[in-house]
Amino acid sequence: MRIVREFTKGFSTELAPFRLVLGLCPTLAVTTTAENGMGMGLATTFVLICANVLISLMRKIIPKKVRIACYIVVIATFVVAVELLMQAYFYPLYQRLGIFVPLIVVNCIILGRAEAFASKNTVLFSAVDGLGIGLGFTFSLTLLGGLRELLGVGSLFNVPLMGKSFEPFSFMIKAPGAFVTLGLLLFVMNYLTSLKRTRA
Amino acid sequence: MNEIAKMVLVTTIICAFAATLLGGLRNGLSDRIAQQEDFFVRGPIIEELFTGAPNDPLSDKIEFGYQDGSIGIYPWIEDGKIRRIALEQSGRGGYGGDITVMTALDLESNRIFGVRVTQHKETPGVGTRAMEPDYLSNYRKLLIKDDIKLKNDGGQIDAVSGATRSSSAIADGVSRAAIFVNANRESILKSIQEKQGSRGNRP
Repeated sequence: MRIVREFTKGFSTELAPFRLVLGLCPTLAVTTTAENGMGMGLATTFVLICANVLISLMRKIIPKKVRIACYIVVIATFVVAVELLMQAYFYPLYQRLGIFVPLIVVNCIILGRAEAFASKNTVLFSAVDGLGIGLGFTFSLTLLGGLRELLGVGSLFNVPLMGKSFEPFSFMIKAPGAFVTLGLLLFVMNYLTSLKRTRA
Repeated sequence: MNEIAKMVLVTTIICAFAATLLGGLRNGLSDRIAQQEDFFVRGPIIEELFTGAPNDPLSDKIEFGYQDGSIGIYPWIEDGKIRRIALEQSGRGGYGGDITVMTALDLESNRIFGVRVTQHKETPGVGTRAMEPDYLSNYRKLLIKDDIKLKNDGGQIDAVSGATRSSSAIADGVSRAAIFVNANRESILKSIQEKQGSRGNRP
């Protein structure tokens, strides 16, 4: 089934931050806790689905020469919409993510999907593609944020897990911790892929 | 020619769609966003500035109509008297744009009671040094009649070195609050008393 494949590729071959190494700015910057990572991921997913659907709807009328400008306007519109909705309903999350919410506009995953997928496929497939890639991105950010929160603060989604004797590595929630964790996750991913390849 | 006309038309339609969507959303959500800002930004700051107030300055807040818009004013009411009020003003000229400052004024002594920054876009670690409570406490006890300025401009307040523009925007915000209260004192007091009276509290 093609529709299932379009959905699951966002978790496997096209898992954005770990496979394609795309969208690293928010991946590194906001994943200090699992909750922040998840919030950022879901905001991006929303923009991705809306932008994909709209661009796919208009793929036949957007002239080739101005397509990038059109995509950027569409994406920026939904990003500002997300920003307003977040301010209205999730203000504390908005305060924590700060400047990285407006910066979703320049997240290359979104423009990438618009150009590579939504502009060539039907609305249904584009929506599924956006959902898959977006949830894959959310999953990656939550995983990264979860690992950093667990080691750096000793909790997960603000629930303390490590017990009283645990001394948090404050290093993990600072910027270098993000690079180290991402590097280790990329190593694990590549190692798993190479294992699969040698077996096949 | 036809191609150019199509390009112009399509981009115009997309931009018009974007403008309508965002304009509608902004109008629809602005009340709710203001509420959230009250709760998460101004609320904690008022509680910090007005610790120990016998009334609840947040629920006693009035919207004071002024020119085109309105300004939220938070009163400290003790024994039926309005002793202190706090209000927000934007100070012009910060490094990253205007800085919104909450100034609390003591009406009995005519002096500044406390100052806190509510919104800013200054550089973390540089401009934000001018927003630390230790530095802002320099404003305490200044007479509201005085011209409130930095020492560089002939006033009373030292600037934080390396953050002169942030310091000066904060001083501007405080001075605007003082000027505003001096000019509208009677009508502000009247509005607060009216609100208290209409709720059945003795003002």
